[in-house]
Amino acid sequence: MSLILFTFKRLVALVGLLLVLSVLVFFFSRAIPGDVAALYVGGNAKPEQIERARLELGLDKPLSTQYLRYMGKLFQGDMGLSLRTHRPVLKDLAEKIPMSLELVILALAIAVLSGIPIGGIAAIKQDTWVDELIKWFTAAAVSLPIFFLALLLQLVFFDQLGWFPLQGRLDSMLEFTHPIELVTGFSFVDSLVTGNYRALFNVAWHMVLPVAAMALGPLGFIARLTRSSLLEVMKQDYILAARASGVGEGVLYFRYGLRNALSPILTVIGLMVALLMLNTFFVEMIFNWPGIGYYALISITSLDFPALMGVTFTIGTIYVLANTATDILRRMVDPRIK
Amino acid sequence: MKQMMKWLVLALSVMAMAVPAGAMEKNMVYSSPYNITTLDPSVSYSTEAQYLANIYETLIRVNPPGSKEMFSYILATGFTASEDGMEYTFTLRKGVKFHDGTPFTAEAVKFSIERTTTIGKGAAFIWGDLKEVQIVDDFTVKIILKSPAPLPLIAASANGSYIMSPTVGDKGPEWFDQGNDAGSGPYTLKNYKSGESWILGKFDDYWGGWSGKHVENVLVKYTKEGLVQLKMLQSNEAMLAGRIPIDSYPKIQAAENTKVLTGPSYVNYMAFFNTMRPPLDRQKVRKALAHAIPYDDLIKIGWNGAATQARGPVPKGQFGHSEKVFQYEYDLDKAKQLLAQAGFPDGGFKLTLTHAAENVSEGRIAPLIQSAFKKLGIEVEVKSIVWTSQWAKAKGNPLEAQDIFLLMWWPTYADPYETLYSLLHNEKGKPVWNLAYYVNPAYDNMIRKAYEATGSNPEKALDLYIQAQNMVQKDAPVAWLADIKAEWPMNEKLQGFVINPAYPTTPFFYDMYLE
Repeated sequence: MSLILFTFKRLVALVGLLLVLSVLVFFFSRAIPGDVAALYVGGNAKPEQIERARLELGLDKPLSTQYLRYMGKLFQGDMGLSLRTHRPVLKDLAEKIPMSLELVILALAIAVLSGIPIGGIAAIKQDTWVDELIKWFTAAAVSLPIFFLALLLQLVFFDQLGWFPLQGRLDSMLEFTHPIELVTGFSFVDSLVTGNYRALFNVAWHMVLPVAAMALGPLGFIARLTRSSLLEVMKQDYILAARASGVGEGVLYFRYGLRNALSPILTVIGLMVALLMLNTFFVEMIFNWPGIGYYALISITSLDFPALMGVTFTIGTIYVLANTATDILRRMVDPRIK
Repeated sequence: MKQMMKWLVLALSVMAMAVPAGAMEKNMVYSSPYNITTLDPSVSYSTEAQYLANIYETLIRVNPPGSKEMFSYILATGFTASEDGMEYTFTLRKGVKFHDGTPFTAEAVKFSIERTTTIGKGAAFIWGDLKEVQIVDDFTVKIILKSPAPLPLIAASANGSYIMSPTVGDKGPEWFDQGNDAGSGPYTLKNYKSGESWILGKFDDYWGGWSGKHVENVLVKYTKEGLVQLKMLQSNEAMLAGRIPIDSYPKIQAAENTKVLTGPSYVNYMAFFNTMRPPLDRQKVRKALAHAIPYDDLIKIGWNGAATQARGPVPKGQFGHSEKVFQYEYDLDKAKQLLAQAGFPDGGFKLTLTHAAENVSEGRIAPLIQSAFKKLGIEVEVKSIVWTSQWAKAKGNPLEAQDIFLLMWWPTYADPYETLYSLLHNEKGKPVWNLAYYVNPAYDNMIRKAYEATGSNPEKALDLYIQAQNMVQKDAPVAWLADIKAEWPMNEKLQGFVINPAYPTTPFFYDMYLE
């Protein structure tokens, strides 16, 4: 029961957070000098056309009125038209979000599933060469800027070795012969349900470098946190007592130690989701991956504020949901939190 | 473990080679930074024109400068003009089909022009002088004007003059933006993924036929980042790229598998002087500055030499351009003299110059102008800001705006009136493109007269245009910097690309083939 109440509270807080975010993004994006109506018309816009677009988009009204109108429409599920693509923002987002989530989920899974064991090993082998090696590796992983890492991977694995493709979701050849039909927007799911196995493997192939670029930082962070958290737990009296009563070291670390060390790790996973969403901005641009980060970046440079609002709501929602989910997980792992 | 690594590497290499060479002979990839704003041919007025021009056709097309004939006949096979330049009769091509199978007749011409003007968006303004479109018979159509205008150039415009199937009916832009098309051109739009990729696929029943050498399918891969475009080109994945950083051009030229195709363009660069605010409100100061710009250096540094010094607002090759238009030359002594006459013998004032941060060439020439003006004792503060902000600021109160504004410009269609009107006519306190805030009623009158004479008496029109431009040059509200050349980085195998300045940034794929 308390879990349901807790989830409910978090969702109410989400609405509040999104409201604050919406005000910030709306007014900030409009405070930048730039003629939105002229952007909408494009090309060598003529004065009469710009004026007409201004009326059509309601840009002649005061900013506060525009904001209220926007929010009113939003509650009816209408995010307006993108100034750049002239398509409904909701439709653009529905196509772009799954493509980014695919990267984020994969990167997160890799970071967690390999970060925790690596951190665990470092803790067990504390102060040996293994620990030292892991320390160096994770320090590098945490401190390399993501865009640099992405370019580095491209340089090594495409330019030099030619093992992985440069960009995009699919080989150009396959775009002619085996294009992915749009069903859910998730390339994996779509190629699987349409039985397009060539595309499926090809997409996986294209994902390796961007996912690696995104996973490395969080992986290092989680490994370091696991190590220190585990070492902290291992100093506790009950571990000493268990060790004294002859429990094997492996069981000691991974059953008794890790379970108690997991709570702080789970907390950062929520943060990692936010970091990964942010990293899509860089990684998608460098690998020409048509997801929400790419979309957001182009929207920013073209002052496409309806699109930016949409992106903000999406990333804000994903962030809060991820945090809520990790909190729920924490409660399950660690009953003391109740 | 070692064994596993070996297998992994082997598997990797096999998969990397999965694209067999030679399989793309009739298909090609175009790595393009040009997005699609709308696919509606009536509304389109942005970078998507280069795709639409392969999907839709116009009645006629302007030929590149230096061609024998001024026009190519596409959906029309000929036209005649009435003596007063108020009525044009087009005879139409027979046996043309739209992509949906509908045969092309005079009805489609009437429908298309009326749809474009009724919606009234995009480049619809080019039809401002239209009175009506009359169907004479199935293959003859008469276009009647309210006032004289260069109708052939309008009918050949890169925006706003596409002919579409009347089966479109009252479908709006939403229908097109889902990836539908209603054209008669050599290619149809397939597999449209907004912001990612789309295919221009061969239309089997195209009236021009497919017996010659033609590219049959083009995958347009939307690629914003210039370096990614470069790599796609270098690795033979893309046969054509849209906009690669110009520093890489020498490398592309030198490489065995790639080249840069150069041709004329109607794109030009200019520096507007703020004629409303001291000290640039003085004619002599502006003239001094126009003489102090090192044009040759600008061209060398800003465009790697792929440009010529501009001679007035109308770029080289376009109707209205003439060697009779006065050109300011780099002459520091003269500049100093003029400045002294204006009462600033040692300069001693400050100016602000704004340019678009995303425009690489502007970023390169701004410091050159800055150091050149320093020689006159004038300090220039260069402000590099995003285009939207640069422009928004210039459109405000001229007294608070910049002193010098750098702009890149291109005409919507091959007639000079739009350029001369937009950039220099009196905007009555509401600046849009006249960012020199220049006011000259005599000039305004003269270009209008020239425009009206273009259809019936081109010699007279040209003469008036030259007079009008020289009138402007005397006042020097703008320093015309450079007419730039179009440059297309491409694979050595790609042949047949003809650069046509009347259709800037439009690759006509039907002309191309792979060798």
